[in-house]
Amino acid sequence: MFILECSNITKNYGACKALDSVNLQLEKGKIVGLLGPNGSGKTTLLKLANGLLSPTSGSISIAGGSPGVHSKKIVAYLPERTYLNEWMKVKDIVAFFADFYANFSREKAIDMLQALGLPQNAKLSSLSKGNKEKVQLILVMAREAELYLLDEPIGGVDPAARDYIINTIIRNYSASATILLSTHLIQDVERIFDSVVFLNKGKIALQGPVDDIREEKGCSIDELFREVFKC
Amino acid sequence: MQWKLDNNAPLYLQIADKVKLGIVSGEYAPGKRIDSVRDLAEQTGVNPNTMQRALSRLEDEGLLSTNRTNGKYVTEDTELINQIKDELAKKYVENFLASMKQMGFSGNIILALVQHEVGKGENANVYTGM
Amino acid sequence: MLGKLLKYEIQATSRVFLPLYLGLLAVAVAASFTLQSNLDVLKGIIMFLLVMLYGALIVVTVVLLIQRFYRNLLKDEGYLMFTLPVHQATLVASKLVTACLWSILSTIVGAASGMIAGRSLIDINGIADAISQAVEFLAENSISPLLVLLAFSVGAAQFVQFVLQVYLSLAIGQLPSLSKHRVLSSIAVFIVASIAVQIIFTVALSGMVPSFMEFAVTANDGFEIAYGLSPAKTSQAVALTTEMLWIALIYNLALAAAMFFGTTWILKNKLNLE
Repeated sequence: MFILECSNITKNYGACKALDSVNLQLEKGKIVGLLGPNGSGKTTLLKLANGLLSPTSGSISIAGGSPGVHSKKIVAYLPERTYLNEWMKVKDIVAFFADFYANFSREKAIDMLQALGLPQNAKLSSLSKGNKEKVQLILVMAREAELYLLDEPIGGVDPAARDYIINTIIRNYSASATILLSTHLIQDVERIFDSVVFLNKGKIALQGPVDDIREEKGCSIDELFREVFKC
Repeated sequence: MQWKLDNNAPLYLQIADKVKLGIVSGEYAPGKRIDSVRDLAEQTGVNPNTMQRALSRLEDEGLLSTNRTNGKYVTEDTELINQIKDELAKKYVENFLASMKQMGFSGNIILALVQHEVGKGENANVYTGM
Repeated sequence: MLGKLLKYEIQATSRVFLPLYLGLLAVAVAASFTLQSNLDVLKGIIMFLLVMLYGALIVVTVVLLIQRFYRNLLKDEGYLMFTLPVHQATLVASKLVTACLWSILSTIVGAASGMIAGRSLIDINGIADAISQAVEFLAENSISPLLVLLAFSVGAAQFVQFVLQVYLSLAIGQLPSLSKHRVLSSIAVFIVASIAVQIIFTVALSGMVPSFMEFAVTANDGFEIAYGLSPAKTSQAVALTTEMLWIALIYNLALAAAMFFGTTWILKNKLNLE
């Protein structure tokens, strides 16, 4: 059974086709890169997978079931935006996650917060944008989920934090979990992918295991991306 | 251990080569346990599946063996290790000669150049171990 | 899950309400002293403050009701809330319950402040008399306490319907086709809905028109209007009122339920977070 299965997913926003007959199957224990230029449908696909959007046609299933309360328990989503409220402190949002998610590990969260130098008593509203993103990422990575949907997890953080985050992803790797990661910074992360999916204007342009692509095309994923999506 | 890996070629092959080099050079001593797939993946910054693929390749070649509970071990078959070492050496020499020939050097000049470099004090120790 | 949501909702909102309540009560206490004194300037200032805080109480209660739903569910925080493993219905319910909670508390605090501030002007005996007179009046005219309860229930149902109408308007306003002008759309929808609600209610009551007519015609006796209705007319009035209240109650509850489901449906199937 695939952890994520998209069957002929089409999503229209009025006249605009954000996704066009997308077919995708993700196995457990894989780290998959979702790559494409702005507006290619990456965020739409991720939102469909966590139930924030409903497809116009086609079906989507998470661990065999349709998106709902059940799937939200095992899916950890990191949106591109900051969703943190103004009044809580870092320790409050940690408690919040612990309260709502059975598979949230408080210890992991605290470890990571310390490693990145984020004080638990700080008010969320006082954190810089980069730090807010780090907090959100930590909250997601501290969950023992079966499917992680990360929308631009390293875009807004400094290179040192970036390395830490990439390392955390590797360290947390589990054969029973899958990560679908959408990013622009391909060069930094292409080494952690098992496979990649290129999305262009709502359609899958290319997909496959990374080393096979490197062998076949004789270039890096970053290089291939530039070629496929040349302006 | 920050290996310099090239994103333009399959990573698992490059990693397999680096580990192989580590084994033939004695860095990973015969019979010794190497770090777990997870640890190695973290140290190198690559996907654990990629690391697993690389190590499996070496297992197929007989250089590594997996003890199910304890992890992966370097083979104790020193004969095999030396054989691989010789194969590698031969390949390096072949590549070196090909590059030099491409520049237009003749065999004699190549030999002279090599002798000169080996003769230099610092390099003497490194090569006498052969 | 609802309990957990309520816990956080209350935490988030009490930060605004508790200081406001305390402030209002404090000023009310101050007012109760100054009103008895001759310090006119101070009296004036405190009265002014009291009136301002009263205004703030009403405004804040209403605004926060709307704002919590909008900001926590339909803006960036929605990314957090709608990925929690809870039903959309539970999320809406948590907002509704807290809205009702604070509205009730605000009313109590408002009334209490009023009584505290004006305690020197209150005649305890006078109030006791008024209350017993009211109870007598109810008994004489066979208006059972249940009718009073019914009247309050209708009030509560109307309030719940009002809140859900706000939520539904906000939910409709965020639909993809309208989201370019969210605020305007929501306001427009709310106004249209209010008008529709009134019209439909009038239609619902239309079945009672014959009875009203009959009552009005026969009550057109100056004597009765001036000196109070006869027992027969009174019981007829009570019956009509009871019937009207029941219609109002069922109508408001049905409307509230429909709006609740409508809001939940939209949030489940047409959520449009930016």
